[in-house]
Amino acid sequence: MAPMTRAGQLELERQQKATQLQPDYPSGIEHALNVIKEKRIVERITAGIAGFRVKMGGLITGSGFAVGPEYYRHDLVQDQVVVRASARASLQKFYLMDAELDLPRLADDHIFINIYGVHRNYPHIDYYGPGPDSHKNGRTSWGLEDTSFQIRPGVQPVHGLKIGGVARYLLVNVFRGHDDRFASTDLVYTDQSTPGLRNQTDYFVGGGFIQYDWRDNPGGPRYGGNYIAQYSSYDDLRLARYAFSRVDLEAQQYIPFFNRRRVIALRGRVEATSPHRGDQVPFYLQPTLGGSDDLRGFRPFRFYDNNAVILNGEYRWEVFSGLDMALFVDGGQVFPKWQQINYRHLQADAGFGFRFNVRNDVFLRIDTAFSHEGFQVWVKFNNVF
Amino acid sequence: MPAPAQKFYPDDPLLREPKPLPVTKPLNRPINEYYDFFQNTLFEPDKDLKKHHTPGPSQAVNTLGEPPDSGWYTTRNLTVEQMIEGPGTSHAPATDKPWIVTSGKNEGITPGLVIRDSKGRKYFLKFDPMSNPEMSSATDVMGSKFFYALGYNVPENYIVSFTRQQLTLDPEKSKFRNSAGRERRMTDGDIEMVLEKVPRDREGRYRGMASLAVAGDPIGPFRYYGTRKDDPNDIVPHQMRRDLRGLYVFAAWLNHTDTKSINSLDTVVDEAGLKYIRHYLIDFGAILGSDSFEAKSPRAGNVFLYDFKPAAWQFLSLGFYVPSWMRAHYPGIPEAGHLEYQTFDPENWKNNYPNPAFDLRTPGDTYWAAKKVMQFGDDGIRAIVKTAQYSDERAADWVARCIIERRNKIGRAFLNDVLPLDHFAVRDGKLTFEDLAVRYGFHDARRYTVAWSAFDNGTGRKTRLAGAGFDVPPSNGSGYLAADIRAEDPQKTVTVYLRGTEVVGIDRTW
Repeated sequence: MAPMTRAGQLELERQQKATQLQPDYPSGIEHALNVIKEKRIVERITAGIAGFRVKMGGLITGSGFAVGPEYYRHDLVQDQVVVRASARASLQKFYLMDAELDLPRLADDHIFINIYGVHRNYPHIDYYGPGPDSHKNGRTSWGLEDTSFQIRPGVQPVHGLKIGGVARYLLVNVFRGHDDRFASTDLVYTDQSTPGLRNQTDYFVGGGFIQYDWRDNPGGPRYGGNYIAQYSSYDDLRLARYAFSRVDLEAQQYIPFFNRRRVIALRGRVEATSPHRGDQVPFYLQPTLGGSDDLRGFRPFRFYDNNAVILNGEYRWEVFSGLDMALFVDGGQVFPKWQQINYRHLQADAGFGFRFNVRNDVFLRIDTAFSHEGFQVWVKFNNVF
Repeated sequence: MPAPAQKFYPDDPLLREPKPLPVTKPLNRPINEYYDFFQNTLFEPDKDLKKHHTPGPSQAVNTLGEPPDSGWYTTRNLTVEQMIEGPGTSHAPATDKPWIVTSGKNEGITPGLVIRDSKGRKYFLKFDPMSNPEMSSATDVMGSKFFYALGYNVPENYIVSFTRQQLTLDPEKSKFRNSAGRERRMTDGDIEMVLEKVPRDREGRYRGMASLAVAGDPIGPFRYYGTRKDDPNDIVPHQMRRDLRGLYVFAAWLNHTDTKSINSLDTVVDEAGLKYIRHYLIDFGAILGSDSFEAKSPRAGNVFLYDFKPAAWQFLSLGFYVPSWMRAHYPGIPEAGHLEYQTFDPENWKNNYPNPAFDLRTPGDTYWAAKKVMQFGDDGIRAIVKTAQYSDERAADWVARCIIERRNKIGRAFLNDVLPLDHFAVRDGKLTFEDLAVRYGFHDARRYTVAWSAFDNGTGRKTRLAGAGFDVPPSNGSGYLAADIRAEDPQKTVTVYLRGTEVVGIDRTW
């Protein structure tokens, strides 16, 4: 019998549903995602199991896909201590082993100490000859094996300002390049043109740095600036031929407009070396230009010399919340002495990029850059600056 | 309520749903937020209905177009004092003894603690970001009061101010999830680690928002589409519910861009031995200018997180296409976050990602909701804002001003989508009503025409009666009268049904 009231009508429908009740299970896909969340599978992969996880990448450009185990704990002593150690190898037989102890927040965030040791073996790194006028066809390869131990203590008197020192022991060995496509560097270049090619030394590196960082978000800045100055003295401990001083200056500035949905990002960097009296700067420690982080229209390590200047400018705009695009220009040059810097040797390129982010932290960028030497496409899992 | 054979029953208009059927062992199931995001963004439920502009009439409404009181919604016409009180003001955490921290987390975006006070009550203690002191705690408290006044079930949220000594541990039971996501026994150091990220006032006290655990046993969030398969009382697909479709307007007004399933909660409540499911809106830390852990992105409320057309415009224009929201001005008050009203466009406001109930809203839903919004006077809005306890008067002034201006935009946008006649009654033999657009100054005074009919409740047939004024004619024996009212736009009509002198039904066209 049909109900005679609205309430009765409603109750009838409820009673009909009551005969068909079943558990409100989620769909198969959602259930799987819930299991991933409950079992913390993503966290186990990224944070690791008992601190052990898989680490990918992080080797030098051109090394190919690299992977290896890593022990990583950033939650020790109430997040005061970070311990990390890894061993990674690439398909092209590059490998790296490193270990790090980081105490970033001592004395209520006013003191920090970082201790780092690394051993690297890179069987082929590109070398095109010295100076700004090296030729693209002069490509060769050399191998690098080095080990270094470094301590980097410092103070942070106010938020964003860091002042510290660096002490480092560095052992370097250069060997014949193992890239079958190109001649080994030592077969084409000499120790005169390429200092340190035949004999390598050990170094004690001492220096200091100052940094002021007021970027809103270092992982994907939209406003603020970051300014770094570092001085290092490389003392040759064995050969007394390759001692030098080095100054690194870098300034990044981010100029937002339209509610930070558009950003002009600028960076200038100077890497200057000065050989100690009668000595030379070995090629394997010279500043370089070319690659995904500076002159993006040129191959990695395209230019080597005692000094380098690079300027980058980017116009970035938000496409949607997970993607920014960029139009950029890069200009820079290497040069042996400051008196020899000139516009004639200025190298430039331009291009566009896609920057994928999660909560404004860039996790993937794809940059395409064009120069008079062709074009380069970079797929990198970091931000450029 | 699906349409029955006859239009009106003797108990229409139903102001309260009948007593619910008891539920037995409903599944406590989570909703996965990634699944929810991708499903609603890429595979929208009821996408075809939206595409073809055939959302269907709203359900879970009575014959006046109002949602009857239920486990979802309660009509509340509150005084200013009642608005201030909101869901409750008498259960703030007791401070006679230290609060026992039962669990905490330092992972994720925002740190938080779960505490128990001396009366054994459980609270979720949340904090503001260092960059925006007072911001999200303020919105959480205001949100609970606004949405309570609008008719929803919400938790009691309190601003609390305390020192470190107010927190203690249960050494046996307190658990902590650290920044690496590992759960372990909680220590005093963990509390300090959480509090390190919390702004302090000049006296060194911490400000937080304590949310009282809602009544009943939690069984997970509700979805904005479909029904719960294990709830016999849940018979209307959620995307068809007026109280969820109309929630679009409330969310737009208060910039609640995070109106998604995981910010809701179903609980099984026990009332005098009857167990049934009550539906809550929770977590208002991301309303107004707040995004909980930071000020809201200027995008929020203007475009979805992923929105193909705007993204295509940005891609193709190389960013030279600049929508108005990118030029919005924010006054630079950290406590207010990114809140403004000048670029607010109620009809094109966007949730963070598509919400099926919002997408299927009709002018009838938005009219109903706008009417509720317009009931908030300036005094009521300012009184609720005051409960946020901003220490900077500029913040309180700005937030109140934005809410008032946004309210006015809501009214202007949605009241005029229909012929906004309301408050129908028969007085001295005449049908009386109020034109809400005229009342609030959104339309000049206008003339109306009315056509009377005798209404056959069994067949739905109307028989035209003589008379063109608002004097109520005799019903010609049918017992029901229908008055079709129009103004200048023939598309927008209101049909009022009378049973004797009682208004029993209102239909609108647009």
